[in-house]
Amino acid sequence: MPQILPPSANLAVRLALVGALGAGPALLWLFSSLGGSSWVTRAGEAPVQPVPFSHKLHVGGLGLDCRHCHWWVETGAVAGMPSAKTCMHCHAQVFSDAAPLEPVRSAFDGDRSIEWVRVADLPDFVSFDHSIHVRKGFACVTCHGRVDLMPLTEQPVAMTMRWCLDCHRNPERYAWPVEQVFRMDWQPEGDPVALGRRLVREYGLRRPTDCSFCHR
Amino acid sequence: MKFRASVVACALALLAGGCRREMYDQPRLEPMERFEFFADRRSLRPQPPGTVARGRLLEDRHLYTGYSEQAKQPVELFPTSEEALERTLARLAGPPLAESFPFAITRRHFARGRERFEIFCAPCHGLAGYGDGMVVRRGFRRPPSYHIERLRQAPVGHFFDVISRGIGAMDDFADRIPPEDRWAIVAWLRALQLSQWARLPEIPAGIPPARAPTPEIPPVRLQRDPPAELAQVQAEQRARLGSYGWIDPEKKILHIPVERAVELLLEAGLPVRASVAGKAGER
Repeated sequence: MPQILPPSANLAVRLALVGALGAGPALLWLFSSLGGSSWVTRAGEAPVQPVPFSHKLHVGGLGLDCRHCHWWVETGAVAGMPSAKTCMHCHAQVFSDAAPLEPVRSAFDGDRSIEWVRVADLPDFVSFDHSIHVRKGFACVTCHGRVDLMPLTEQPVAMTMRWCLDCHRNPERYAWPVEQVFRMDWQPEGDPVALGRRLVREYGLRRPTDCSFCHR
Repeated sequence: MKFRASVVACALALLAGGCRREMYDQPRLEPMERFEFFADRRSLRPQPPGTVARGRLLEDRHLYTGYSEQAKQPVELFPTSEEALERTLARLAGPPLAESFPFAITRRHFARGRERFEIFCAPCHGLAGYGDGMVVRRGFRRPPSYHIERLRQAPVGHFFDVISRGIGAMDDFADRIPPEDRWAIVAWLRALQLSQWARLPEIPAGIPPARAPTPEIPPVRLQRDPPAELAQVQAEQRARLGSYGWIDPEKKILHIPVERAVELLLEAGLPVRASVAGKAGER
């Protein structure tokens, strides 16, 4: 009886064994890391907006406070977007005929809203409230990054659950004094760890990690 | 064959399972989300005309409009200057502006007013109120300085009215600044005004003898380093608000640190309307 399999079949069997053992973990790794990758989360990508608004110019150059436009942020769940009227306050005079501002003018004239593309988008099954975070010492830049350096607005870090929980477990690493949370470039003086611990005590910060705390 | 097909189907189902986004984007509206149902595509609906939201009847005329209940200012029938004429015309045109605050102003209000002023007003008016903010430096029409005689004499209701309804190139801020905060801003304006036009019983030692220059703005030009320019402008404005100096040595008028001005105003007390004046302390 002749040999059915050639000697090279040994290699094929070995490869198949290794493949079968490795494929499962490889797939697991692929799926687990894919979800948090910037390819899926679009972190660090600036979406195309109707107007190429520059926070770098308005915040970094003119020194506008976040709340000048996003004025719901201290009292509301969402930070809010400025109305076309807010833009036109200045742009009725400054760059009043600039072509990129055409959507602003037509929105203002037609009593419509400028249809911005949401940059920081949490899934709908998460309940998030801006006001409690800024009141308890969590700064705009902690989540949204240095918008004063962004010519086009992007979300620099992926807003994954792991990322939320990192702060919910370790608030002392991220808390700022409440009077500084709207600053862009604040740096703690002295030991940041000691300051963080003091703020956690002072503001009575809890470490909310129950599922139902955010998934209501 | 059947076995193979089911393996492939299972694999595809597993793969596709990771792609479902229905839970991410649920069929409900987030605030400000686009909504095709309405012609203007807004999910946030404007208030229907002729309706009053609960708790927003705004009956308190003084608190919500800055106009006083009754006329107090005499009208000059034969105005002797252009300003007097303007005043008279304004008085004739509308109800009298309030001369007092609708509630007693405390330290808390000054702090709140400062914060709100620096968010909403300082971009044009400048931190010290000379009308030299960054937006003006980029070409917006320059607003008047708060430190001119006309505005030092203006009743508090005037500033409230301007914030609420706008004036000239300035739009109104009624949607962004609630009435209580507008009054707090007006209190802060009074502190700014006093800090830049103060007569003190004792002149502190060590004031440089030279007259402090009135802040001016350079003509609009291409910026090399906007953040550095912003930092420099803000530092200059804060320095002006934090120091002593001569505005007018002959008349013994100083600029003083704004914190000192707040203390002086707290000592003297800002005018409060009669119905509140009796009750001391916090609202």
